[in-house]
Amino acid sequence: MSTISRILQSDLFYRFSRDKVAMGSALVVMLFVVVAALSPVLAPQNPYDLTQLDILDSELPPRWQDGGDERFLLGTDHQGRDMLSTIMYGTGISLMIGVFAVLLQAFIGISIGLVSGYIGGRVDAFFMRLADIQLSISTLMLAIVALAVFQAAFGSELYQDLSIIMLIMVIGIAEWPQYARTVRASVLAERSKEYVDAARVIGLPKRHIMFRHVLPNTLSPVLVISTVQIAEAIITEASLSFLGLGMPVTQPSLGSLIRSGFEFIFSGTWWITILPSLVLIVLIFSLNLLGDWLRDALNPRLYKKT
Amino acid sequence: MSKHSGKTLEKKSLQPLVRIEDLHIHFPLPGGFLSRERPKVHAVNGVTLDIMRGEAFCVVGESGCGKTTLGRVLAGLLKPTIGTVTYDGTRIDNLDDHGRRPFRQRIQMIFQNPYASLNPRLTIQQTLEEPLRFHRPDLNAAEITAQVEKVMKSVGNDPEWGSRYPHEFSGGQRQRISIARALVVDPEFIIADEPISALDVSIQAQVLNVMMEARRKHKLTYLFISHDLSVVEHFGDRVAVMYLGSVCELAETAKLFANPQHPYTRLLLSSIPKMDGSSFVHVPVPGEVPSPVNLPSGCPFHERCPLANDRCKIEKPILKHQKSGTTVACHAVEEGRSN
Amino acid sequence: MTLLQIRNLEVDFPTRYGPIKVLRGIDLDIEAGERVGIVGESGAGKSMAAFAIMNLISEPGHISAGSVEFEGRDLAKISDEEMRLLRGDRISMIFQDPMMTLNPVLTIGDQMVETLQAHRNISYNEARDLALDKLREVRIPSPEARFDGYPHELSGGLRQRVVIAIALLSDPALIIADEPTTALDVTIQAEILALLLELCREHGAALILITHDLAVVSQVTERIVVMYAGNIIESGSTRKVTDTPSHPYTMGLIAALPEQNAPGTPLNQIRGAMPMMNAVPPGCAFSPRCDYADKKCSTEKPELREVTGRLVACHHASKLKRSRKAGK
Repeated sequence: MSTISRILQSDLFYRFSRDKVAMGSALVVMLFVVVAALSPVLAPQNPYDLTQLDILDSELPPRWQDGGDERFLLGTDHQGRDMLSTIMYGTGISLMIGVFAVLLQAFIGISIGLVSGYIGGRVDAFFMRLADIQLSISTLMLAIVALAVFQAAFGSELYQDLSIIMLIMVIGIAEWPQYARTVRASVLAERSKEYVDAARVIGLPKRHIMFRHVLPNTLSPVLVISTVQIAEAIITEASLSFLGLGMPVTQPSLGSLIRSGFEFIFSGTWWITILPSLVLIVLIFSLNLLGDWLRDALNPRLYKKT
Repeated sequence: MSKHSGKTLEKKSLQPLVRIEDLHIHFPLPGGFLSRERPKVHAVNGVTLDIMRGEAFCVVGESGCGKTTLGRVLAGLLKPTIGTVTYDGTRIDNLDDHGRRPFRQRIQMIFQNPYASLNPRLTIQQTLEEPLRFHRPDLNAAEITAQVEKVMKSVGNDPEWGSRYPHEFSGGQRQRISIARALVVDPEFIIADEPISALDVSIQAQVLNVMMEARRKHKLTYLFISHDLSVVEHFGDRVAVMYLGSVCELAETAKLFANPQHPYTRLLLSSIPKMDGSSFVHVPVPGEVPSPVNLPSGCPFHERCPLANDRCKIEKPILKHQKSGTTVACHAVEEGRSN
Repeated sequence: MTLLQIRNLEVDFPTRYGPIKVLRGIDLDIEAGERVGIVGESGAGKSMAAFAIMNLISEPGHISAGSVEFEGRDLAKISDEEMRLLRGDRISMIFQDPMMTLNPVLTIGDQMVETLQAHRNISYNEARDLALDKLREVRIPSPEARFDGYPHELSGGLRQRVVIAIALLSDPALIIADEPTTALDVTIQAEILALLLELCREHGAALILITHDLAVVSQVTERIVVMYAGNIIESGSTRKVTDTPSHPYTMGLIAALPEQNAPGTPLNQIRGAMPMMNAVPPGCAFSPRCDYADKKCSTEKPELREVTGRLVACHHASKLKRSRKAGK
């Protein structure tokens, strides 16, 4: 109760409520999340349920176009799936992969950053060089290699079953240096503050100081990069799916939807590719706007100097 | 080294609580990548002193003189490069975390910046309970709350503040909370590093009064580090004046202010702005404090000293007891050239 | 001749809770060549007063009422361009942090020449000679070498000397020094203050010295202005204010200094703290902390009135004077 009122009274919330762009983008993101989460209830069709599909309904255009069907607001794809439902489910899968991949990134990155920054010395040097190496390899390249090897080793059937987990793992592991570097930088700044000295004078164990004193004070930059990282992860997933290494067509994410329609785009069935693309663009754009706003709001020094 | 050694009848009360012997602290600087020897900051260079039980021992000096580093070594935040620190008969500078633990409760510290010395994410109650929970596992929740309340009241804080966060308090209030955090584990020795220099004038008096009151109530021994001579004159029993990592004069406060011996002490005293309407007489002294990376040879003060001669350039003077009752490290004073 | 005449100056900062007044109607006259100290604790508005004179208040703060008349012109109303020409020419400012003035990527010489050429039509060589003169005047060792050096090569004390040299470049009529020695060690502080005093006397420049340190002000200035919560509460000759302070706040400030108390005894403290700018009490802003306050103090704001040759904003100033005499 008091936590809620504290949030509502905070300067951050006040600035948020005054900023139309921030409010708008947050609203859009919220809308996507709610719709995706409620898609089993809201969607007119379950695209995973093969018994609901009829191949005769395939490649129907959106309702407002000639030849459109009453039942399918946004038309259907080449398997006869309702585009609206497929996009709703697909957004859910994309968001899920994005969020979980970022949680994994954050977990690995924050742990390494914290240890690296607080202990310093050789440990720090080791992890930071590791981060440099990781950053010098493109995430996409690493993911392609890892996923292709997995597919070749275990067969595409197993791969289809595990694809969500695989994508989360690969994107999560490939992007940890962002978090590690951010956290390490703020740990270094916090560690030299007197409240950390005070905790050391008391004699508190290192681990306690790290987790109770230093960590909570390094989290605002983590929040800032998180929104942008989710957007990044969703794009990476979409790219991998577009290349055929992501989600299978039977369980499509936004990326695999775009890919599945791509073959037909020149035969006039544009909606299978364009509609999920639009959804993806709006989602990424809103996430990035939100991230930009958060960075400005939590970094007043950058903001105030005019 | 000490004037007490050799005496057979040594009373317990005369034994120093803290004994620092030949303390050197060097910090390696980054760089020196190609050369074998890395440049070093010589923060403290051979300090030997005793702090007696129950006294308020002050260290004064300008920035870079090593006074803060000295305090951090005593607080266990730094390890000395050379030298030893003995606390109540036990050598503590080489202890590991576990061995140090009982001393952590007996030695506490108050910091300079009230805006950085409290964790912004913890409530005042959490901040104050933490040291107690750690050092007094025998206490139950009610006893901890009672002890926190008692200490908060003793430094003039409203115990109701507990549920609030540091940003809701002014600098003076925060500094009193910091003092409460140091006092809550019932320490006997407190290191106070410029505890009032970040505060406003009218608040400085409040905080200083709280510290003096705490000294009386808890029978504390203080190491009070400051650049402000008038505060030191008011607060301290004995003063050590530091310059470039060395103690140049050590005396009882009243004696030092009445009759400063070392040329640097005299310079410091003449530099204090006074409000008594005396005309502005200032003896300009050439140059500024040299870099602690490349220490001058001989006496660290000789480059700025009006009394320096060839001996001062070569030989570093050591602290010697004077007839006037002070201890001074100066060839000129020793040779009677100072007046 | 009155050089600077401030009348009823008010500065507002709009916030989400409504505007906050950080200056609440200041009147201040400064004569040509006069040295005045503005004393107060943080939040008293002393720096704000300086920034208001220089028209340098940072957004969204602004002068909401009053006038700042300097050499016959109202600085609160003139254009930014006119103000720019005045700054660094007729009025100079010295900040607490020398690096506020000095640009770390330009040599000291370039910055001095640039400042001169911004205000005067002179050649590089003339400007260089003038700059070297000023560096000599502030007693920078080997000025020719320093002229081509960068600010980071200097110690804090020397940097502040360079800043003073820059402030003096165009022989200003008024120098505003905002805590010029607070970041410096006490021995260096004494040297910088001595230098500032000497140069102001020599050049006949007026000085506004802003500081929290009464002792510093008392050694350099002829007049002291004490500020509290955005108001001037006492103003008079330095000797009078430091010897016989008449506002309870000034009295408290001086009595709280360690040198005014016998060693080891509790210091005379003022209870409480300066109010936040958004919560200044009604009536006399000092009344909640004042030992002499009565009902009138918490309802009616005292005006500055003359009491024994200085101005005091206190309802009880004349009564206090008598009781103090009786006490001593």
